[in-house]
Amino acid sequence: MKKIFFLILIILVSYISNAKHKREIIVSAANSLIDVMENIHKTYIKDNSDTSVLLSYSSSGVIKNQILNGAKIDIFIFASIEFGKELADRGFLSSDKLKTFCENSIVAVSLSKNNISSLSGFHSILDSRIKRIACGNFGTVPAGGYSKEIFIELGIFDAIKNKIIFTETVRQALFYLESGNCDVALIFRTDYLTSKDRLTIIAEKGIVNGKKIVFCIGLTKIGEENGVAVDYYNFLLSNKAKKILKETGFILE
Amino acid sequence: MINDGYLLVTILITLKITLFSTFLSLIFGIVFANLIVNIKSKLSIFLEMAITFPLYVPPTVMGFYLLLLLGRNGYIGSFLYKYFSIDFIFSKKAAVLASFLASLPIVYRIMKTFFESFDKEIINAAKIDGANGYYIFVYIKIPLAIKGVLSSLMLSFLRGIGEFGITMMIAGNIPAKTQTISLRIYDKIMSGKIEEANIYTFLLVLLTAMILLFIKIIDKKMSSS
Repeated sequence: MKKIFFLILIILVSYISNAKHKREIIVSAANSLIDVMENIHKTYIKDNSDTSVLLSYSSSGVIKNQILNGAKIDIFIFASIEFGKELADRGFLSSDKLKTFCENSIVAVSLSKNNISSLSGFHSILDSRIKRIACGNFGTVPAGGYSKEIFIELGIFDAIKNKIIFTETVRQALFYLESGNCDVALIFRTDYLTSKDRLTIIAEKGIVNGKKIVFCIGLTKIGEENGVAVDYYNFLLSNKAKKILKETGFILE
Repeated sequence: MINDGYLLVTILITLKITLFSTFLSLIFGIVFANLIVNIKSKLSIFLEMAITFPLYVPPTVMGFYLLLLLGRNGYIGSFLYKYFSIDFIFSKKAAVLASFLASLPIVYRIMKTFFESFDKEIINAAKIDGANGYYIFVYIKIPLAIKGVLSSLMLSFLRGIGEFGITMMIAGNIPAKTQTISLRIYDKIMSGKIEEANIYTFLLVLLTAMILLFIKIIDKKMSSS
């Protein structure tokens, strides 16, 4: 019994000490960026094969809360600049380390094969044939937050509210649409581009409440202390990365 | 306190869904356990695997397959939608199904253990005296396994009220419709409203404690009589 106990202890200790030696950097990005981040990362790895960068994806609101509660995230990319500003205000990163990453727009899409042909414009979602609208959670999914603002701006929020099925990520909204369980999904234009053969755009809006929809990137104070994180952050802002972003449809100034 | 008008309705929805699913899983769990114990062929292994499927598959994966199966384009879902115009996904029915499937294997496992441990002599004696299968089940097996029924009730209620992954997938997360307390706590935590999350968690604990106390009282009454 004692022997087994010591064995477990040794394994645990060696595991912990091992983890301390090899510092990986963690990059948390909004779900909409999955495909493009993988591409950018591949380009980075070509020249820097020995560094270990962990990419993780979640909804921007979730990542923000993880950082607020002390998660060791070196670089974050949010689908909403407001979330980034909140972190800067609360001292998790210096405000000069918060930059715009790319632009996007909100689209309302339906399945092409459903052929709801007469629909066009956000007002048309009020149509009685549209029973369910898949939309990101207003508080945590920026695409959902933007959609809510668009509805309020157009004065149709109250009429539409009861049709909404909330999702935890933008991609889940797309999945609910593609599996036929919702009639309309509110997603980013770039999400639409990932499966555009099957989707039809009903409405699109790139400016909400007079402001452009921008994604932001930030290097946290934890990341600033790490050379690899700084290097990766600079790479994400470089022209090489910008080129990939442009190719994937993330419009840049 | 929370004044968003959702507090009471969320509690009522949670209770409605959980009590209904607990009832269903208790009935089906007991019946399945009794059936499978009596099956002699190797087929019983497959049946058992099917019932306990939700135990070894991650809840979100379970929910995903159910969505594909019961959704408007799914095999079962399209049939229901076409002929009975039942829209299963994103309804309270789906939430009940989610909790039911999650707690069914628990009831099944507990009751199977009880049914297997019975002295065959008792059953045989009843048979000789002319009791049929139904009579043996209702008047002999169930009373003998009443402890098992009560702990099944307790555990299936607990599993049901805490159900999250499957519910999220197939019932959605619609406030005042399918959003249970567990889902609302998740929502609140994810949007950083920790205080409200604490209140809902406290309510969940309180509610569960009350129900458990109730079951305990029944248990005492039964064992004293």
